[in-house]
Amino acid sequence: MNIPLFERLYKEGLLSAPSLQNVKQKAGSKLFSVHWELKTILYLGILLLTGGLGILIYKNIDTIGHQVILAAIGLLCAGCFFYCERKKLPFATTKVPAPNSFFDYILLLGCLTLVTFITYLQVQYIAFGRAYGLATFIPMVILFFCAYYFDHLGVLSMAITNLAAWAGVAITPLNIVNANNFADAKIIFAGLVLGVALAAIAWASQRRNIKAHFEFTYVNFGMNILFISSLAGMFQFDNFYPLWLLPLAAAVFYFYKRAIATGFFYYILMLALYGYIGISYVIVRFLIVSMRDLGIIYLILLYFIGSATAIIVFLSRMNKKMKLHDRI
Amino acid sequence: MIAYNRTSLDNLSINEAVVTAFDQQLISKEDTGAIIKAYPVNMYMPNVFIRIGLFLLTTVIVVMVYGFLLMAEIGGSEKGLGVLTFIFSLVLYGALEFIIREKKHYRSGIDDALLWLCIIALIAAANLVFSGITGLANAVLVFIPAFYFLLRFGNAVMGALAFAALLTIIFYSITPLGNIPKTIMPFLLMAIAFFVYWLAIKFSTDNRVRYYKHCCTLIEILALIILYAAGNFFVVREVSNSLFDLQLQEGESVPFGWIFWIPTVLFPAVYIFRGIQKRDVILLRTGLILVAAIIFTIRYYYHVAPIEIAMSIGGAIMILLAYFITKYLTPAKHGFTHAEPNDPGLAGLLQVESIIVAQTFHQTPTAEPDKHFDFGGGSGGGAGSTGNY
Repeated sequence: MNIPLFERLYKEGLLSAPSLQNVKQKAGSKLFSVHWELKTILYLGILLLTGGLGILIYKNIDTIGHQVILAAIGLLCAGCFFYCERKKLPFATTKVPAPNSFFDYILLLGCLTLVTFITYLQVQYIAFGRAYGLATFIPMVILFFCAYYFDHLGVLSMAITNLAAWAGVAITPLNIVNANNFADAKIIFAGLVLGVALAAIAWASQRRNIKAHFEFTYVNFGMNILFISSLAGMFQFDNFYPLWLLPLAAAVFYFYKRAIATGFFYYILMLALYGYIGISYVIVRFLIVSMRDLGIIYLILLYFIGSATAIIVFLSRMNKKMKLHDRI
Repeated sequence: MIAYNRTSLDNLSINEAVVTAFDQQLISKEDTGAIIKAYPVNMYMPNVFIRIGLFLLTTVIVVMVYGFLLMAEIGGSEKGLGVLTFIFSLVLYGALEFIIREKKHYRSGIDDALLWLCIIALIAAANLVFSGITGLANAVLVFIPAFYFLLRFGNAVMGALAFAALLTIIFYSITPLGNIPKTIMPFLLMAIAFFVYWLAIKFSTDNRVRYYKHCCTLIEILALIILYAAGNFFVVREVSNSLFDLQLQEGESVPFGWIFWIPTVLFPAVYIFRGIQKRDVILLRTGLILVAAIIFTIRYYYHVAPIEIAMSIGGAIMILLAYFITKYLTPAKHGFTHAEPNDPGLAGLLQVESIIVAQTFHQTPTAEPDKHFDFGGGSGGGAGSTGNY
């Protein structure tokens, strides 16, 4: 805290005496927070532990025996949930803070071991049959329950990726483009339905005020899969590619409304970029099909210079418009 | 020297301090508003996401304009294109100065993009005009504009680039001198890194260079990492082996190689200790990250335990460590706390954290294509399921 600065402001009459007192007091008793350091250590610890145990089991499955492994995983899982249940703050439909960061990651460990437990049961004993993807459905339900019950964004994200996996779509950020076979029309439509569903859940949680702070997580996953599916449809279906501008435009319009309502600049960036890619694809493709000489390249270059300038103007305007609703 | 308006920069730092105090509920909303009004920041500084968008779009525009140049130079010589590229980079620099002076842009994405594209065009132009430029010459070529941009625009990444280029220049200009300079190279680099770190620390609180605070932070981090890397056993052995053509066999080491085990293990511990002692976030975090470097270095040469056992035990130790630190710091002790810092600017970190969690822990098998449940009552999933009962 820059004390001389605040004293100067006080002398200039811009700062009241109690405020200056507060600042001085705070500067004297300033605590050094190791919150994020601890979180990172915990995160890496759990990543290493679960990964290491996974390989350990895989390598020694013949000597240890399935029941022993299942019992060990089950015990670890039960221990984690026992700890969390004891430490957690009472449930509420609004945001409930975690008692400490250790709790957050023990809950995560508990959920991870639970999912492993169920997957193990399924692979080994086919405990849930093969119908309706129950083996993915049950962990998903449990994860959603834990996310709401313990109020945990990380578990919620895991639940959403599980929901997507159940629908046959990979939705994790680094796999969303590579792991999905967008040549398959089923994946594209599943992605569209999933995106709309997630956006709807987000809207409902915010409207009904049931864990309203989950809204962003739902929208983030929903928005990306919706836009990517629309673009994939455009790139994939040759015959009526311009038609895909319709779902794209609808998505852009909806998230534009949400961005204005929530003040999230992130939505604006995403809808501008995805929308720009879609429109550019249609226009460039149209130009290439309709003209067949070298002049086409100049036209495309000109198009990109002009359109990118237009989007810059749009983003700047949005920045100005949304800044008005900023905190101060 | 700095291109941006000095009064606005000073007012910006006042505003930031006041908003931080407001976020911690130390001063009232009225006071905050009054101070911000009294110290206006007349600069265009969009939100970070808008900045990313402007950066990308500016890059698109500049690349497309360069495309026109390429079209005009089809069939021309490499030298001709080089000269054009050089003129292009000058035009970009002019645009950069214009957008800062007249349009008052400050870290808006547009100035960032122009800065980067300008330096890239400059280096490309030199390489097109003079073919066969050596590594040393390229390092000098990077250093001069990067250092100038650091001074002119106070850009932290340019500072890091200039620092890295400087070390490269030193490396390339000393290696041809013979065996003794090669032997003392790690110590020389460590000495330089330490000197730069000391300079950055010394000047980071100096009021005369207040516009370069961000640069100091990044250079501090970089200097600490280079100080460690220059003395790290793995780096010394492998770099000497490949660059000086020593052809070491497995198990062999550079002469007196064992000396480098001392800094390899000791430095991170010193960083962490000093970080705790001085309440210095940069030292502490760099030290913690470098603990991983110790482990990788040791495991690379000595197979202490199979990977899965090492992972499990390491993971368990880390969880326990975090548990005991949390327990020890409840309630806060010696000025340390495990509570979340009260800073709304960090709220986005929770979202990032949840995405990282979902990305790294998605170990549930994706439903196999022939078994997955189909939306819209797809026949494939339904028909297949009956067979399995």
